[in-house]
Amino acid sequence: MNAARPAEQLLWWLAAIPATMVIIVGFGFPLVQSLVASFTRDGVLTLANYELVYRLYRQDVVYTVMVAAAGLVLTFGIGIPLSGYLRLHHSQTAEFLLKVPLFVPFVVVGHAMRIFLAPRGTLLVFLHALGLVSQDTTLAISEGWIGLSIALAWKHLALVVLLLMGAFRGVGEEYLEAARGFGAGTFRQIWAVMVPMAAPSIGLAVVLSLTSMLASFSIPLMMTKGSGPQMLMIDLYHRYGQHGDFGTASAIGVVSYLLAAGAAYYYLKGVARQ
Amino acid sequence: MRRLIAVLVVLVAVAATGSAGYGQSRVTLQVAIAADVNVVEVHRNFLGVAFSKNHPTVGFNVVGTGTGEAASRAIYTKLKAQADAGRRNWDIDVALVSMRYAAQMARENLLHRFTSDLQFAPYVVGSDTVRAFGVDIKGYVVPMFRNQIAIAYNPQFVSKPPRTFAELEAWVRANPRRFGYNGIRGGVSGIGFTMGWVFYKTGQYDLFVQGPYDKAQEGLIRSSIEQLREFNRNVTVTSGNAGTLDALNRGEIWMGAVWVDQLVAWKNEGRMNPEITPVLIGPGLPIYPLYLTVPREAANRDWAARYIDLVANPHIQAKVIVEQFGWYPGIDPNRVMPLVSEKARALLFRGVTAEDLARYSRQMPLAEYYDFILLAYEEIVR
Amino acid sequence: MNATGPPAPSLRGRPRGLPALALRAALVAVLLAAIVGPLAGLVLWSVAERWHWPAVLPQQVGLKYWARITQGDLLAALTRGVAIASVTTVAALVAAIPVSYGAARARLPLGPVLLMLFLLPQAFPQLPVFASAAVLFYRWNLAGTYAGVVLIHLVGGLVYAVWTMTAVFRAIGEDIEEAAINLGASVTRTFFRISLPLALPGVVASSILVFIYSLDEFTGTLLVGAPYVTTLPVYMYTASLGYELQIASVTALVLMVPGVLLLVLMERFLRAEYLAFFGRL
Repeated sequence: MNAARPAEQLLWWLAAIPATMVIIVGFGFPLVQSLVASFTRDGVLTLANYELVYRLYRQDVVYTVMVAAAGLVLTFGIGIPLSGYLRLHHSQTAEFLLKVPLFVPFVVVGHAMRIFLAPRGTLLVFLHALGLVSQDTTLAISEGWIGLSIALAWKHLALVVLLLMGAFRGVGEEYLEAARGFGAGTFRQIWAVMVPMAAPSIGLAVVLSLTSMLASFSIPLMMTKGSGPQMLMIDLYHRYGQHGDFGTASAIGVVSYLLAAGAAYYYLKGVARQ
Repeated sequence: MRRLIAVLVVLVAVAATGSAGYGQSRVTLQVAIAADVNVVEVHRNFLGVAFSKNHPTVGFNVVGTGTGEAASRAIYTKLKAQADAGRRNWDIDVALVSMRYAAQMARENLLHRFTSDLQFAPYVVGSDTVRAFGVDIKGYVVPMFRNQIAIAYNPQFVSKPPRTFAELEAWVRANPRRFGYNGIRGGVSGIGFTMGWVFYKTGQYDLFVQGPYDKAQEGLIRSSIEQLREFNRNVTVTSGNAGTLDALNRGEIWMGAVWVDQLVAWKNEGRMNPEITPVLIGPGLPIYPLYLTVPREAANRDWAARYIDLVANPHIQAKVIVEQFGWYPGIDPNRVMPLVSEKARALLFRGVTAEDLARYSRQMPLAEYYDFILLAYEEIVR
Repeated sequence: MNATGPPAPSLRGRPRGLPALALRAALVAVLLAAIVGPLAGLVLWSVAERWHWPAVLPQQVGLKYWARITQGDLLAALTRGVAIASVTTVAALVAAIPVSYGAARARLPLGPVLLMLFLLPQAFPQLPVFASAAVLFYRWNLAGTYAGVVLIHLVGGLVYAVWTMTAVFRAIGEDIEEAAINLGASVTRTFFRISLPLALPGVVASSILVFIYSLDEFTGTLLVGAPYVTTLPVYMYTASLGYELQIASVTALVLMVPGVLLLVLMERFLRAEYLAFFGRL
């Protein structure tokens, strides 16, 4: 078919209005409003909100990045070898198991991990049932950054493995055969052949996971703790929900946009360099 | 195919609108409760039922808006939005909110002055029904019950509970991590403890409660919060009201800052060790009433007043509020307590006697001091 | 990028010898423990009728808390969630199909740009944007209403319908539509009688994706709907924070059911590309 005539184009635009309006009203407008609000307090343009964010939450920015980084390391530290191994030595069961977290909503992951890693949580119950720990053992890692990283990694591993397996399966068998011909074991095949060839996909997976972990809210909310550093989204929710301080909450939001954008920027730079 | 789609669309539309509750032609009293589930249940299962029995033609719908100050804030935001939009017939008839937001709503002219319409208006007494957080609230509120923040202790581990903050400090130093409260997030019991601490360390009370706001006090408050940070080093900070109770129940902590009413509710539900006992410590801990209010343009103002009248009835206060749920009465105790059974009275004042209340029960400070203390906590203690 | 099905020379690389087999078995065991463990914890709590410290296992096990599904708050939150998800699904399809068809057939100018637009809500941190949306909704009296919640669900969920339907319409060759038009059918008749029926698997896939997204949506519902309109995820959050761990666990398991069903279905019927969407649920 040839290109649409102007009258027809107009009709298509009209038909696209409902969907577009949803995004503009529910996302675009709020996004702009939050940007403006972050620079506003009591009706005047000011940096006071950012100053408050710096005063109260700068350690939490560091903490958020640290937790996301730890979660990322866990996810890819396990995900890359796992996907590589499964590419070479297939296991239907393993692949099925690894798809399960995809279908567990974030909030459910948060709650499940909370009771799993609690000081007297179900993990210890199971270990005790297996006779591996005594009755009085408690878990000290549960509510800190380690527990959070584990929960984030648990959820994101599924998507990362999915993406990586797709990329690794795209690596031609000839290359791997050649490597095996040179005596490469599983380990070398993964790191010397598959990873370099799948680098763009890995990069994309890293960016997706990192931005998702930086902006995570449901999981930290369920695994909430009373004191100490918090994830940025928790601070935002506290500012907005408890104090109604939309200005400072928006400032935190802008910081989170920048963090997420930072990750995307480095990826694009890497892609452009190629 | 097309018919199938049409039928599906109609079904879905009907389901959606049906569940949205349109098409209710009779009057329905809309009650919004900014308090924990246990309070919502009281309205749903007791007070609402009694009301419906007296007035069978009037529908009754109660919704809980969450816990803590955020719950009251949710009600405030909704009413404010309707006021700003110039709407009539607002969708909440009775709002149970915290003292702070009742004061704010009164200040912003969101409430209807209704107590003069009540049969039991003379029983609504107490300084906290006249002024709150520096705002004139007389006529706008009826306390449903009064809630006291106390220190609950486990007699199995604590043979001699502290009677003052100073004794608590010493005990905490001797028993690290065995005292718990929730900081300033996740519930007002921790906030109340913080306020009590500030009263203790600064020695100021009347100024903070009655005002005016004196900037010179800020340094004093900050230093008291710095001492709180030191105190927290030996403390378990829990995730909320329920977190403290849960930790107490599990023996993870031996003392904690709790709401007396929540403690009693958990005991009744079998979720709490019945031996855990509350105690008040000097100079005092805040009492925090929950107020029944009527929004200014509520659709059913008269029915709302009648419902609140029911709740203020001394018999209801005695049988439901005090006996059944172990709360301190919202109206004049002298009218209520004679109607309460001996057994219930003993249970109510176990650990915290009427004399203790008279001596140690404190008000929350002025809004500006309150906000400053919370901000200082967030910055210094984190 | 097909994530299911191994490449042709599948026997090569199969583990041979005992050490390799043992490694594979160990891997599966570890994965089983790591993936199923937390979920098994949910099941344990859901049947723990009474579980007080210091008992390591529940003192009393039963289905008392599961019975709560059929009554009271849980049931209300469930029906509300299903109703909202149903409306959201229909609305998403109705809004998405014109855009998808126009973009797929290159009739809609800037179609590809528009497609990226729908991806944006998933690319930005959701909480700040939804909090801002809540402020707006309160002003427009949309907050705490079903319409408001459906709208916020659409913001994140439209992308599933738009992208899936665009892919499906692209897959349906234009020649069959051209043939119908050459035979005298009008454009609308062609669309409703030929294109749409052919796209039915895509419609089903989109419906499932949007439905599950809406059912599981938490952040937007928490900000816009709660406390007046609550769905299962918000209910679970309240229960968990209030230390009603049994109810929270029951709710969590109920929430997982549609997803697990979909997982099983997908293993057998649907294409793997749709799986990638779920990482963002």
